[in-house]
Amino acid sequence: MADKKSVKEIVIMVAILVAIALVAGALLAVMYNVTKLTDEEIAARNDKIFQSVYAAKSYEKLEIDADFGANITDIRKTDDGSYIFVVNGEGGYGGSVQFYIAVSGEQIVNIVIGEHGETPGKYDAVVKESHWSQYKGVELKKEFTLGTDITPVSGSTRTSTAMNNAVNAAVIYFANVLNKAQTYWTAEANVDELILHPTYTMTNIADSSKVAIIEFGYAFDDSGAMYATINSIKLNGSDVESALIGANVETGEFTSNGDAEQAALEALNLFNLKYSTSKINSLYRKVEIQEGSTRSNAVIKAYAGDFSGDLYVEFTIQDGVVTSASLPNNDGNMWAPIDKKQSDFEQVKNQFVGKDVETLIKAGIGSLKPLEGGDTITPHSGATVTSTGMVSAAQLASRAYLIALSE
Amino acid sequence: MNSKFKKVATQGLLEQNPVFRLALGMCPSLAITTLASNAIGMGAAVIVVLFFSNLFISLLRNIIPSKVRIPAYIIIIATFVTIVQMSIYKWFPDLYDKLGVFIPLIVVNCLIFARAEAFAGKEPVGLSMIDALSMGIGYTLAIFILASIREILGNGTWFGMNLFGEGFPKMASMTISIGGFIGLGLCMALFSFVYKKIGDSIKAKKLNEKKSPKEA
Repeated sequence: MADKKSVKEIVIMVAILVAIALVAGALLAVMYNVTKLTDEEIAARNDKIFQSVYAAKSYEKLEIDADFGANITDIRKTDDGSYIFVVNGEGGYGGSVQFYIAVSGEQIVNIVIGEHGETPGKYDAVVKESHWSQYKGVELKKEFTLGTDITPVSGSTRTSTAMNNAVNAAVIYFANVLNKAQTYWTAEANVDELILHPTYTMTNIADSSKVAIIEFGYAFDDSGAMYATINSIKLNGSDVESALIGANVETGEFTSNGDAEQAALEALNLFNLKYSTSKINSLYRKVEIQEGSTRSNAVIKAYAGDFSGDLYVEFTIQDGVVTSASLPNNDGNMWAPIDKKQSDFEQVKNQFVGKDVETLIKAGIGSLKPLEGGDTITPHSGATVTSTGMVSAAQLASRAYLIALSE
Repeated sequence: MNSKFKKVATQGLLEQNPVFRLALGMCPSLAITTLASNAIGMGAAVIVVLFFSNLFISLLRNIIPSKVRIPAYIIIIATFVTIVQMSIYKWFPDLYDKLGVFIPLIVVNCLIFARAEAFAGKEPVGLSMIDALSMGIGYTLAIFILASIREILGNGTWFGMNLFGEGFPKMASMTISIGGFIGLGLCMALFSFVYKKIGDSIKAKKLNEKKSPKEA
């Protein structure tokens, strides 16, 4: 049992430690208040940082679009229309590394390191211009790949990675939000480097490098509204081998087919693709999914062309397979303006019934070659345009089925 | 007293240089010694922390019970490190950027703890302050020499000034960890060599002084 003396000793030790800690705490509290940055100092320090990144008269703070700005903490627009991104680049040695990235004239003009936990002496080479100038002079259309586009600093791979991730976050934001009326993609790029809006999926990459098949592309007008779609496209380099493009007249503000088609062609221009109109089937299109449709039983009406008045085909799709097709508004002569009967429509229609939506999306007709794994639909003699329109309608319905109806 | 004072004031520089002789505080010494300016900044921070922690530990040496001296020392050292860190952040933001995580790590720099334990906890206030300055300056000198060698060989610059022009063949390895170890090892060897030479000459001198009266 502890005697009185040792109890007293313990009490004294505790008391002394507590006293020292209290004095230390009080001292720290005082120093904290003395060294605390005032709001003006914080603003001045921030502006000083922005000044050192990109000299300008003003730095207007922009609202950050949460869809794209996951690691972006601040975006400033300068009076001359340049941008400074404050980005946390993931993957650094001491956690994420803050970078200030200045973008002017669609190119990176400066990269400065901000707050970080990197090892002094190790990260220095990464933040030197000799390293980050690799990002300069490149139009910001696609992400940079470390190792191919950018050579990381030997011995500072983690900091280089963090910088690359930060730059890519800024590039994605810049390309998709700030600069979106401009080009998204050049065909020289490898297909897996394309930046696409996350709402849309890119599937069916047919070839490993140069041939791309995009089933659902998109184009914007100046205000950023989505108008035109590239429903399917087959590329060889930057040459369009075949494409089915169109525009959804219901979401766009088009008053005529011509406008819609023009917007769709504009989509190809935006992507810097070379095309001749003969290789392109352009159709403006409408699609209506009947209320109550599910994957197990869907009724979808799709636009099939306007050879002689708007023609719609109504497809019934059950569990991913087209079970029937009909002409809901065929008032006698729309399908067959020139001596064509309902039985002729049946001939074309029967090529769709029983087909899987996944294969129908890849179907081709006439000069429009099918995509890999797709069928070739034989056009009905004397009704080639409308037959082609039906392929388009079937593809549109299939796409609507896959996109709009959840599994 | 005077001779002890003199001894304490000079031992940190050469005889017991914390980096080259005692091998204390190696981690920051290796990490931040890529630029001479970083070494000066780090050295200054260490001097301030060492001075105040030695001062207060020496003041409280008769009050702190020996059983709890280690937590007490750590509280005192950590307090001053935090104050230094906050001050650098407020008044020297550029330096704060460069030294990064190594400022808070001064808390566990063995140099400071070793001086608290070996010296300030036993010796009077005046001597402890002198010891702190001596050791701090010795530490700063050592990392300054190491950083200068590494910066000059690795970057061709000194305090950011370009010394040799563009054609200088930079030894990139000196700017990374391996250069730190090699530079430190060579400095230590050189330092030991010089120290031994000086020691030998002093011994020889003393021997001569002892002998000479008899011979005379």
